[in-house]
Amino acid sequence: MPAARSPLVPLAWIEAKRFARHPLFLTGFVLALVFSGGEYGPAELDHQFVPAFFVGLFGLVVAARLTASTRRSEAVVDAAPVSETTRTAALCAACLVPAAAALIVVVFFRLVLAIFYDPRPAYSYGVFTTGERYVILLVLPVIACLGAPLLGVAVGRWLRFPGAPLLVAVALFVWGMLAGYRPSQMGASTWPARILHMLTPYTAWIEHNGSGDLWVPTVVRSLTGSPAWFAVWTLALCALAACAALLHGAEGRVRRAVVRASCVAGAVAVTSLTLAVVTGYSVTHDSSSEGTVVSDSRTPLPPHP
Amino acid sequence: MVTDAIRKGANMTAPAIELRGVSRRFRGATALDDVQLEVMPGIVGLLGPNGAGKTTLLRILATVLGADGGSVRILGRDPADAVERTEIRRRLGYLPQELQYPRGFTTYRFVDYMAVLKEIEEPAARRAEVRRVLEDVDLRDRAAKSIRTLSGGQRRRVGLAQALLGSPELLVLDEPTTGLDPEQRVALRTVLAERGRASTVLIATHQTEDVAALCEHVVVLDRGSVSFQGTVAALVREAQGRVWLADTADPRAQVSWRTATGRYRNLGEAPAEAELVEPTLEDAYLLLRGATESEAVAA
Ligand SMILES: Nc1ncnc2c1ncn2[C@@H]1O[C@H](COP(=O)(O)OP(=O)(O)OP(=O)(O)O)[C@@H](O)[C@H]1O
Ligand SMILES: [Mg+2]
Repeated sequence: MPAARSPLVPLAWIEAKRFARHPLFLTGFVLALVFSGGEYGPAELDHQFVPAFFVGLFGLVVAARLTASTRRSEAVVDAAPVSETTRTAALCAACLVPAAAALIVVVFFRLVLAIFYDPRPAYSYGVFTTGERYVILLVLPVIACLGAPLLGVAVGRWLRFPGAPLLVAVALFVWGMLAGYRPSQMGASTWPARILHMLTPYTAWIEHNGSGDLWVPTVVRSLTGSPAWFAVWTLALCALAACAALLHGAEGRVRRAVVRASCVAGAVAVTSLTLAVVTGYSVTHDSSSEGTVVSDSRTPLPPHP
Repeated sequence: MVTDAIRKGANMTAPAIELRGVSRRFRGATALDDVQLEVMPGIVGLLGPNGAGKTTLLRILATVLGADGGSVRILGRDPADAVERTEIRRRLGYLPQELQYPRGFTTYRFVDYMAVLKEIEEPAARRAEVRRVLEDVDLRDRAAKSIRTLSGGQRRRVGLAQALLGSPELLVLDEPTTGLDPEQRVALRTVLAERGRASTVLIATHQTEDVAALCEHVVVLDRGSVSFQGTVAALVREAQGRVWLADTADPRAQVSWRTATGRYRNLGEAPAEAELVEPTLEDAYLLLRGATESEAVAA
């Protein structure tokens, strides 16, 4: 039998197809499109939550299930020449499917806004530059939808108790919610709050006094941190999740390589997290039709008139 | 002894499996104890009562379980070494005693997935190989069906199909015929007989008929040790003159049972006036078991 070519590519294709066909993934994908198409979002920068939740968190559970599913046949799978590390790498590659799905969702959302709705008032983007807007709207959701499924692969490899994927998905959700939104209410401009606001795989960038379909916000509060360095930090988290998954069952040379890669990813993570905190916005700003002012984040936003 | 085994083909002269003093314990229970075994290419049956250690032995040979002690060489390689283990796996087909399938796979997709894991990467070659093995186990018409919807015997054949992928040099089959209907069993014999001409096929089973029909050699395991290894003919010969028919169950017999004709088949030291019959492999196996049992009681 030929062993020259790597089985990684055909295996990744198989896993990608399994991912793309998984009912939970398809459900999340369709829901994300529905929530991107039908609603006149009050503040565009809030939309990133939709793919991160429906494609990312759902994808975490899907990836964990796919990873654990072949354990039922481990007696024959383990007796095959292709190593567990290669099989894990194929599953990691398949996480490009939800990442691509997230890209479709965010592009679809942009198109819907561009075609059917008037441009948003400039103040609804807060203090963020055009480049930062695109990072928040187009890049961060894709990274979130890559990282959460990668974490799912690691969960599938390491945690064998039933319900583990759901538990980790809920934990990730709670972490993102607490770190993303709470710091702004406990003094976003203090160091602990600024660190906490970035020390998360997912974070909020604005708060506003709008509400769903009902009314457009009059005040938008931009939170602290640097979107660009946050993107690098979350990419490093993706790499760490992949390394954690690959470490399972790795031996010898491969194991050492994975450990080395984890060290590099860890160093990048620490550096980019530091830069996200230090180089980003250090105070919150409130923007409205009258202009932008530095705000005290402990004061609640004014109610919608 | 198995060492005088069939010698066909170029690489058929070296032993495919060599075990010396192999043992394996599970939390106090000894599954294998000082096993010495040399298996030459060809088809070899592995018999033994429940709990004898057959599955444990086959799992060691399939490189999914390590031995606690002793030396194991499979196809001239050491499974304890990671690189050599991969080399063994490239030449191995394995059907475990109990095989479950991942949810959501069709027959074709599962076998195809296993083909990729067996490094058959070129798509056209893989397609052809998957079709071939599905043909071998008569599952071509079930290829597109979800494995979940197959019958027990059909599911078993999916396991067999993946074991046959890539025409492995060593086929390790743990109770392959369990759940198969008579036609399928005979069909499988044809496939395995063909495989046995060019490779080593080791079959653990409780079906002595399968061993008699297929295997030239047989190994009997008992309480973790080898109690017989040699040709099937040699084992049957040991029962010559020790099987007789009578109208009653003979109290001198080790084992006896009433057959369909209403007469009793007795196994043991035959009395002088006994109406002797030709022993089958099953008779020989039962006599061997009886002898080892009484040795154990004496010990
Ligand atoms: N994973 C395990 N944990 C604990 N004990 C085990 C394990 N696997 C096997 N054993 C023990 O080892 C002994 C041999 O078991 P094995 O499954 O090898 O027997 P076998 O000959 O295949 O039996 P059967 O004909 O019933 O399949 C038994 O006593 C069994 O209880
Ligand atoms: Mg068994």
